[in-house]
Amino acid sequence: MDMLPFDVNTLTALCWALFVIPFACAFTLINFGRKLPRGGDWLATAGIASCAVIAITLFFKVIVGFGAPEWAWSSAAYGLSWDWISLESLQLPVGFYLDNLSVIMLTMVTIVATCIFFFSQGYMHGDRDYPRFFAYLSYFCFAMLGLVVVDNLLFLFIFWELVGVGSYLLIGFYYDQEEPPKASLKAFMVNRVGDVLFLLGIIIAWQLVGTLNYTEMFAVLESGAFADRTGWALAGWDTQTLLTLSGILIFCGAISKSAQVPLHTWLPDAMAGPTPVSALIHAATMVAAGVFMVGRMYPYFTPDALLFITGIGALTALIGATMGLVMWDIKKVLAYSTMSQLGYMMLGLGVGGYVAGLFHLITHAFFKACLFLGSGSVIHSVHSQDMRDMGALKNKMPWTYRTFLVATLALAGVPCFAGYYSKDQIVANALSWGLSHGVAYYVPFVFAVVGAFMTTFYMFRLVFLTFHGTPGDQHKYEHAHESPAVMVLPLVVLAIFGIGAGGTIHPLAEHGNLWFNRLVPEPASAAVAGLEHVGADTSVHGESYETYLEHFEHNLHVAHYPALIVSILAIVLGILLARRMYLTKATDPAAVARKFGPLYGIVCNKYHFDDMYGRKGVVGGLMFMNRAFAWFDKNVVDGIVNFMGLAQRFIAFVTGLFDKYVIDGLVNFWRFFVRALSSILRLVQTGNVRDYLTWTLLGVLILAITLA
Amino acid sequence: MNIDTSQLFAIFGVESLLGLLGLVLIVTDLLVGKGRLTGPATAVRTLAFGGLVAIFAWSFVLEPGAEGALGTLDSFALFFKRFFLATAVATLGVAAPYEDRLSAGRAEFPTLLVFTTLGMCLLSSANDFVTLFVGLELVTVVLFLMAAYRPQLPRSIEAGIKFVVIGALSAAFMVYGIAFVYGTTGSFEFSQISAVINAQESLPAGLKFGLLMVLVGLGFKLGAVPFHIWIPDVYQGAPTPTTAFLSVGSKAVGVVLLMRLVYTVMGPAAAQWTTVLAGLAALTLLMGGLGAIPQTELKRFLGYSGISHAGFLLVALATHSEASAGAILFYVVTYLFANMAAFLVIVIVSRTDDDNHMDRINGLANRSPFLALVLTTSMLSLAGVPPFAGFFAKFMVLRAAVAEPALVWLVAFSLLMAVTSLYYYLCILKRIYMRDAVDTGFLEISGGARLLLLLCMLAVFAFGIYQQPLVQAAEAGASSLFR
Repeated sequence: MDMLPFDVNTLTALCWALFVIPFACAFTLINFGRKLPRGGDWLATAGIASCAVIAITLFFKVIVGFGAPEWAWSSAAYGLSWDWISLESLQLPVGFYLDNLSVIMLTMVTIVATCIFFFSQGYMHGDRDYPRFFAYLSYFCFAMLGLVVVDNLLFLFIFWELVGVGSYLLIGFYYDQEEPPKASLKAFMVNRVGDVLFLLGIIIAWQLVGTLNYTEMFAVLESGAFADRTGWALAGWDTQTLLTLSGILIFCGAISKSAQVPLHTWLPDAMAGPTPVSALIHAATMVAAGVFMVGRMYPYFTPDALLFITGIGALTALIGATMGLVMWDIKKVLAYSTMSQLGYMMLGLGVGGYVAGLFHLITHAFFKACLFLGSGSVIHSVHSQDMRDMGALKNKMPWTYRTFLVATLALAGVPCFAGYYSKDQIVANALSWGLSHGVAYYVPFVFAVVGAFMTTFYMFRLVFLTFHGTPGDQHKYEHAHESPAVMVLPLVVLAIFGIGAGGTIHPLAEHGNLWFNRLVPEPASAAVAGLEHVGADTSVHGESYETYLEHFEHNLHVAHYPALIVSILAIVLGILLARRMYLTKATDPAAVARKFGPLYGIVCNKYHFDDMYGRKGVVGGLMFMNRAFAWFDKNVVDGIVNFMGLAQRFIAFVTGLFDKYVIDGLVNFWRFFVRALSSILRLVQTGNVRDYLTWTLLGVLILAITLA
Repeated sequence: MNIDTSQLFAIFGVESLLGLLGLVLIVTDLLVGKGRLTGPATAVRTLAFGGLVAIFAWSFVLEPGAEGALGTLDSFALFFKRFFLATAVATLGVAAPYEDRLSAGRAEFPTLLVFTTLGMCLLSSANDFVTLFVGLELVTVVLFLMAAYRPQLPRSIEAGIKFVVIGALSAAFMVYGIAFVYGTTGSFEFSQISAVINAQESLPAGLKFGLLMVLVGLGFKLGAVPFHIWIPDVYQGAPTPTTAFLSVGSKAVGVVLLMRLVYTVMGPAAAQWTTVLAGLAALTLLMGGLGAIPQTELKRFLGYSGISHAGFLLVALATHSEASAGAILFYVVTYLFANMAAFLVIVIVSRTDDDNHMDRINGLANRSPFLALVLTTSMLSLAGVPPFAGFFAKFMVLRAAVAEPALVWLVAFSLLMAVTSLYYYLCILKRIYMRDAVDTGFLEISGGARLLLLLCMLAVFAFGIYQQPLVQAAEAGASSLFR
């Protein structure tokens, strides 16, 4: 029997409430927002705050009440699921699924969102489309919360698309400027690529497993009782290959949504949206949905799929960090930082650090939201996004500075701050992965450490350029001012989480004792377990799964302190270098850039990813293909269609002639100039009742003859 | 035949209340009237609306199960009673904006509507040829009146007269057929006739002929080719609310009786009729599909569209399985919403001068985006485009039919005709969105009309996305035919 914090119906109702409330707010605001006092911001804020109350209640009831790592509740188990589509061969029930992970996720999302709603009241004050902004934000929360509570992959995908729409709407919020509409379109298009692959993965999974409900899927995998749908659709493929393939395709959804290389290009451009949007969608929640999805589907991934995830994650972590080094736009630095951190999470998940990756998702959400809101506060005050216009702001904006600094320390992974506990675990996991497999497998660890060094460097570069030193633009500096309380308070709340989300401030705390590790246990890999049943090769890089797990656990223990020491070294090095280059100015950054000439150029050009996709790259190729297809369409397909049309017209004409001579008596005159078909039919319809009666009698006669 | 009053009320409760409502309406008209035109009309309309809605709501309290000598109240009958009541309510909604164009008899229109509905409800319960004929005549005779309701318009009179003549012919076929059936089986009751039919290997010629005549009589109601011939003229000439009611209600009368006849009376013996029904279905689809293409008059166009829908219903009838019966019930409901919305839009765009030429909807998207959206939804649903309800209705029909190996050709043909029909529905959309408006006058949409349109549109959309409730209701309704 499950342990339940409430009775089943209350739980279900709460799940409904979680996403229906924001939807109702969005609906009201989009329709009547302008008629409400204050543009209805209070309604949207109250809506998300009530969701936060529900989530926090659940959090305390479940986590504090039970403290059981295995806690999970599925509405389907109580018969509370609804058939979305129900045909004999196609059943698609949908219900809710909650476990410790989703409750923690809900709590994080609603708390961050509530902070951002409050912040937006200050940031967006006086905007022409103030109600629309809150309507979109509420809509986004609806989709995001729905994504977390549903119990199957298909509905996850549906909400996945819905958050994509929310992101599109909010990036393009300033539709009358030049950049935002382009950026929103880019985000949407790039995400399409990943989403199509994701859908393909889901289809293969459906063929292979026969269900899309998480628990049922994992049960099928574990028992090895695969549906035999593969028989006709995917004949000739063995199960392991299919599992790996569909796992990788499903992960491709996360590649675009979570801005992993090579589909990350939309994220920096997405910064064209209002800053609270960047904080909510492009730092804390939507981009993390990809990580959440990989976590949800974790047992589904085979070792090979996980290897792929590791590779992509490690690349993203490093590439994102390098691009963060050279940006001058404060939001772009944060965007690349987000991308890099998402890479860390994927890397963590890929190397078997399930807990580490997801823990980083939670802690990162708080301090990255804080950083974005802090940058929003600065932008609000300076009216510029270029860090060269800023400087010395710490005296003008003390609270923004303090909270920003706390979040920076957390992001850098300085001991005692929240980011330290999660990031350190990822690094330790990466090292242990290397220890378990051999030399080549140290690459993710090396990338992670180098990335950690760069993270510290670019974040302190940002802090020094913005808040320390001398004002870059005297005029702007003079007009700078601290933001109002409605913006500062959310910053403080998020900064507190930036320290507290780790659950401890003991720098040498055992990983196993951290709150998240105790509550979210690593699931056994159902994919591997199931493969044992079907007799496929279940070894993980040459070892049996059990031995591998044992080794890994052992190595994890061994790796803890070395990893810790290396990452702290990287951090210290990063801070010192940033200080030397941007605070004391002992080294000229331009000289360094010159030294790394070509490399610097490549990084500044964002590794030419955009060019690769552009007119001379993928898009150009596609356009060529489009033209080719258009030609084919116009000349070949249209030709066939036109021929069919002619043929059909000919048949109709012949039928017409037949009609005419069979029912000759009904026809009084013939209109030659009307099209053959229509004229025939019109002539049948003489309007003369006697003709009608004749017709009918004839019909009866024919029927009677047919039957006799 | 002993008749017990309380049992009668248990079966014919809806009908009794409708009769009562009709009488109350007449009396109200007399009391409030005193020669004025608008006062009594409003009172009668409001009262009729309230009464119909109340009876509709009350019908959900009823439990199926009562059965007697003259009729039966099984779940099938109950489903169609609700359907007819809903149709009547919707027709009232279509009639409300039309009322101004009537120079006389405004108050009588709702009254007549209530009496026709009474006849239709009676028919859905019929388990006896006597009830069937009485109910059918009640429906038909009142519909004659409603078709010829605007005596100052020659077209309306023409429609009425054509309808009477053709109706008389169909009734004649019917009575002739019933006489033959009675002569060969010795009974009017469906259950006994069914017993006789299924007791023998092959039907005697007389019985076969009788059943054929009855089938023909019902074919007129459904609008199956070659008995569809009255439809374009009558649809065009009759006042638009009457046309709306004809297109949904009268067609459903054909459906309900054919289903009783084919599924219950003929039972397993209907397998011998598959070829005939399938042939009729193919002809009907062909005629409906090709006939609609050259139309330039909106109501005539919808008439042909209705013929092609009758074709789809015949495909389901020919299939003769429980799944196909459920599909028919689903189909008529989706058809109700899409069609009523279309006719209400026609009433609104034709404005005061009763010009129903297709030009009227040119550029509708600029004149009234709301009407354009409603008409688009309705057309796409009628065409069977996902995700609208009409798609799922066609899908259910074809899915049931494809299970029958002998009907695979018919399924293929239906698909072909469905594609053809897409062409002319899209022509309507082209007019709405891509042509410049011919009529630029102000389109007056009353609150009630707006509500009805919105409701129809939402229903078409909702039943396309989430079909389960309606599918279950339809399956429950159809199941009692097979007991």
